[in-house]
Amino acid sequence: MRQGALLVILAVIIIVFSIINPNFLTSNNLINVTRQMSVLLTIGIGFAFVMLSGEIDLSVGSILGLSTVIFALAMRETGNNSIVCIIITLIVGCFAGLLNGILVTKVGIHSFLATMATLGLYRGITYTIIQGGKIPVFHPPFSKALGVGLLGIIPLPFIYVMAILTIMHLVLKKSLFGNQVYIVGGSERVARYSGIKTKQTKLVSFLISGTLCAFAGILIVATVEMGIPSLGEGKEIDAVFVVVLGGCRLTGGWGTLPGVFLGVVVISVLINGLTMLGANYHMILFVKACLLLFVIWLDTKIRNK
Amino acid sequence: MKNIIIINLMVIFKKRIREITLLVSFVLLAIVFTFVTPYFAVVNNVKNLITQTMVLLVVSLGQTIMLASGEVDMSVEGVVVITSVICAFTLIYNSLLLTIAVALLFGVFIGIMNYLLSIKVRIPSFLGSLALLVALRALSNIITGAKPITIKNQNFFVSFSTGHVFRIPIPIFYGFLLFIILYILVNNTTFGCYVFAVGGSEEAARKSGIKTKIIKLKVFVLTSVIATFAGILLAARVAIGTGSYSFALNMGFDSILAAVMGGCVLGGGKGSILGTFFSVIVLAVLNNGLTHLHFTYQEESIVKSLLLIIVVFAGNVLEKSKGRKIKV
Amino acid sequence: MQETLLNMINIKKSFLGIHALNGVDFELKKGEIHALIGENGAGKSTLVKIINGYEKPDSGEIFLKNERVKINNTADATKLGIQMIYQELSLIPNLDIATNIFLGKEPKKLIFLLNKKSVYQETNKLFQKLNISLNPYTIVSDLTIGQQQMVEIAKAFLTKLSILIMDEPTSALSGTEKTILFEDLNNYKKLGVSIIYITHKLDEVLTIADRITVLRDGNYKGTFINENINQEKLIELLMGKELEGIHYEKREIKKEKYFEVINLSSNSGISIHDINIQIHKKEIVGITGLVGAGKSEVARAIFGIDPKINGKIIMNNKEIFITSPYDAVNHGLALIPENRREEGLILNTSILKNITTVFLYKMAKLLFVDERLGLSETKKYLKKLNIKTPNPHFITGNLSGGNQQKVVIGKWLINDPTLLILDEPTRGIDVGAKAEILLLIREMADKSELGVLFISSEIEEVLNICDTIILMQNGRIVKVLPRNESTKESILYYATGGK
Repeated sequence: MRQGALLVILAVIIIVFSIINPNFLTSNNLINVTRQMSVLLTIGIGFAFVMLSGEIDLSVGSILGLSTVIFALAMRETGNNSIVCIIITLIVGCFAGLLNGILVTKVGIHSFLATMATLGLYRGITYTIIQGGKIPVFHPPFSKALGVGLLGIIPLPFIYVMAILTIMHLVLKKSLFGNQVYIVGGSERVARYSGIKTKQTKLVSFLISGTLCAFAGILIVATVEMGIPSLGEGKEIDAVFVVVLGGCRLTGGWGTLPGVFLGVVVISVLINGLTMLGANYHMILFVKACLLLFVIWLDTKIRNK
Repeated sequence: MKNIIIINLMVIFKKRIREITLLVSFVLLAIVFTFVTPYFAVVNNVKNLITQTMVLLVVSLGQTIMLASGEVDMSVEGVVVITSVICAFTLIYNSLLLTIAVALLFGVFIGIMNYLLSIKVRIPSFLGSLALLVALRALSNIITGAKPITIKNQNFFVSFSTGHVFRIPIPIFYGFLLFIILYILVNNTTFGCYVFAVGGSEEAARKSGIKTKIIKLKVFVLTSVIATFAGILLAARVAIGTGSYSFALNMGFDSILAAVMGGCVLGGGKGSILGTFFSVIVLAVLNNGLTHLHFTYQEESIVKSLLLIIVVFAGNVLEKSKGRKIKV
Repeated sequence: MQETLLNMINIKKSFLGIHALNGVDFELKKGEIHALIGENGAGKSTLVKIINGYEKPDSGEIFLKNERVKINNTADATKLGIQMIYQELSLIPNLDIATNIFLGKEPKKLIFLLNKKSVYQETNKLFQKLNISLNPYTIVSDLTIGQQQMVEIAKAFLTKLSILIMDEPTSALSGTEKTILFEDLNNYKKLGVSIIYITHKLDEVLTIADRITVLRDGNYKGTFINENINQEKLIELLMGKELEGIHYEKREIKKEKYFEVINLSSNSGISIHDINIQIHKKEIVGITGLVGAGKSEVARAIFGIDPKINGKIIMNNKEIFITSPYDAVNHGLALIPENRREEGLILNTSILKNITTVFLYKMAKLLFVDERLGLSETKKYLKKLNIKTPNPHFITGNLSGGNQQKVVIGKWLINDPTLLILDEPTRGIDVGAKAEILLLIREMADKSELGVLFISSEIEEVLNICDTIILMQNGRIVKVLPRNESTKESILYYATGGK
């Protein structure tokens, strides 16, 4: 239902924008859009897991920024050994997610407060590590493989992310863990009384989110060839947008990854189109906020029928 | 006789353990910083310190009432920002009355929007207000073309920043006035009582005949209006209206931190105006001291984040030890 | 002779075609404690809700002090001096006593300021009048249930009170608190207040009530003066019709002791102490007792939902350790919880998802879950349990209560449990579904050699299906009876405090 509506909206947006600006449907532009989608989609997938299990992760942007800096530093220290650096960065992201999970499940802090705190914590650490500067990363093989390279006309990062999407979708729909995520999000009490380890499920969701954010960070570094501490600021808002747009319920237990994918596509195309029309960053942000509220309102109205 | 005094003191101590801890922390921090850096205990510094924190104090007091009622308002930051822009634009007409009227009206409007999002559209208040925050900041930048707009109205500055009332700098005067008004409102009126009731158990409050939705509406509007006032104070102090992201940065987080330190819990039903007041003082001293110790903003951010985690954790432990169920 | 205060004549009320009250009369005198008794579904709640204005009668008249009145809502009732104390208390837990009492009726000074001093003073005065010795500054959540109840009653006295209705007031009270409550009730009598007291507990009724009215299946069975009646006569009047279709049959129980609980104690909600239970294979052991006996708490402690203070669990002669429902499920236990809507089912998802909730563990092979297996087993159980639904993807929340409960049962049976615990499994279910479920339980015990722990406050059900009956009162086991030594009278006798 939701996905049908999104496809229609998408079609409308594409048609409208292509009429207004003929450059919209050029391959150059589409490649751009697709590459930009990769980062948002990666974050969105992890965020969806957390939201489906009934929690929220506001620190996604900070984990992303942290991982770009960690990766850049690691590259410098290991003499551009990409593989090792990727592994290190993913581990850092994993631990960041783990901390989130522990604060929520073991320490008992509401995920909104806990991840708002780690948002500041991780961002602060990021800036402090490199004293506010930026670290360039110059390693063409890496940048090509994970950033600017193309397979035909499809950017490589997009392919990786689609692979991740497919795998995670299967995990969510077909694995024991994935099915349990839905139940925990549907009703934590029922899940617990049914013998599901709810704390563990939530913990793993946060872990996935953290790791995926780290991967998204690596993708960005590959494209911009720099580790910048301010990267990812505000991404948590975007994550909420695409996930809710894609049909996930804020209370948990409802939503799909293909829906998130569609949400990412719609938002990315919309932003791209608006940018081409000359809208600046702030106007786009305003449109995003209003669109989110509108979609939630619509969603509530439909559900109440 | 002595015994009775001691017993009474102990009762007060037990009840006000949080406020006392905060007061003690304040004193300790002040002492530590005085020794560690020569710039701290200087009259000018202290005066600056107090003036600067007034804005945060005002916003945090509003957030306290918000949390007590069981909701959160992340959009206070956005209200402060857009109020500064409104001031910058309307002051061209050189009428303080006009400026204040427009700003307050907009504040009321945002409060109503928050209420509708939370109650009618049923978005959890933290997400609805977060979306509003983004919209407000974006709107401010669109209106100002992402460039700060200077305010030149001297009347405005005198009334809200540089002036004095009984030799007290006006921001401090207003801050204190608002503190007293809100203290009375929360602790000595039926409204305040109902706010805690609704936050504690909306179901039971409704059964007792309290119009819970009206209370929530009032709380949302009140918080926004208070934030508007903070925006006026800030605009008067820095003499610009801007949507820049470094303006009122992280005020949402800071106000929640102060409110939680002062005794609020995310589930609602608890909170203390006095506690928030002390918390803001502690945070201001911490901020100021750390700055003089050459901590960067980001390093302070780490400290504050850890502080939030510790405070919430300590609060949970305290509640558990009293045998009460934790309301998150 | 005391004067009549309230007179209700020929009150009829139906809900969705089911008769809750079939022309009931009720007379309340001034300054008396009048008990209203009857089994679940007898119509007691409906009658008092009508008095309290929460419901309106379909027909019949109400007279207050000989004047005909219409009570259209709870505000009308309050104006007439009628207040009801519900089972779920309605105090604000984080506020203090005095604030709670005056909530909504605060005395003011200077128009809008709260007269705090007056609030605490008036509370103290009220407490003096009612002989309550609580500190008005105490936070309500720090009070015991009994004390909270006192506060609620005091709150009722703020308005001019002539009729106080109490619904199962002692269900969560300790022995001492109960004594205090009874003293208080006698005090209120002296203050001229009439009390309508609803309860299951016959011993209390005979202790405290001046007169007793018995309802059965929506019919008025008579009003009796306390001195003129005894427990046996009351039990006789209370007995309802036999449950259709199920009668006890002597069954073959295996000799081996299969599941044993030793000295179980816990302190979550109602404290339970020294619970000892033995279940043999194929045996259906019943736990019964009145509301508040601690029956559900036993189930929750065994299943690992509540932490145990003390106790061992032995299965097949080996001690097993259960600290969470996960452990319980691993050892083959199953719990059909008391509150199916909040503890047993996710209402906004499909029947399939609900039934396979626990079965997921068995469906998981290597990487993926076997969805086909899940679907086929679900279909099997839909048929076996006779769950009426168009398809397995139907949203569970749209099913009837009986069908919902069957889904919960299916959710557990699908896993081939070895011990099945059911907590009030037939509550809120129509008669037909009830019979089906009970037959099913017996069938499962026979065929799969399940051990069953059947918790219910419906004594007839327990008699119809259980091989051994455990009676609980106040968190302890008071009697264990094999089925062939039990009758309804004997059970009621022991369950209400007989020795």
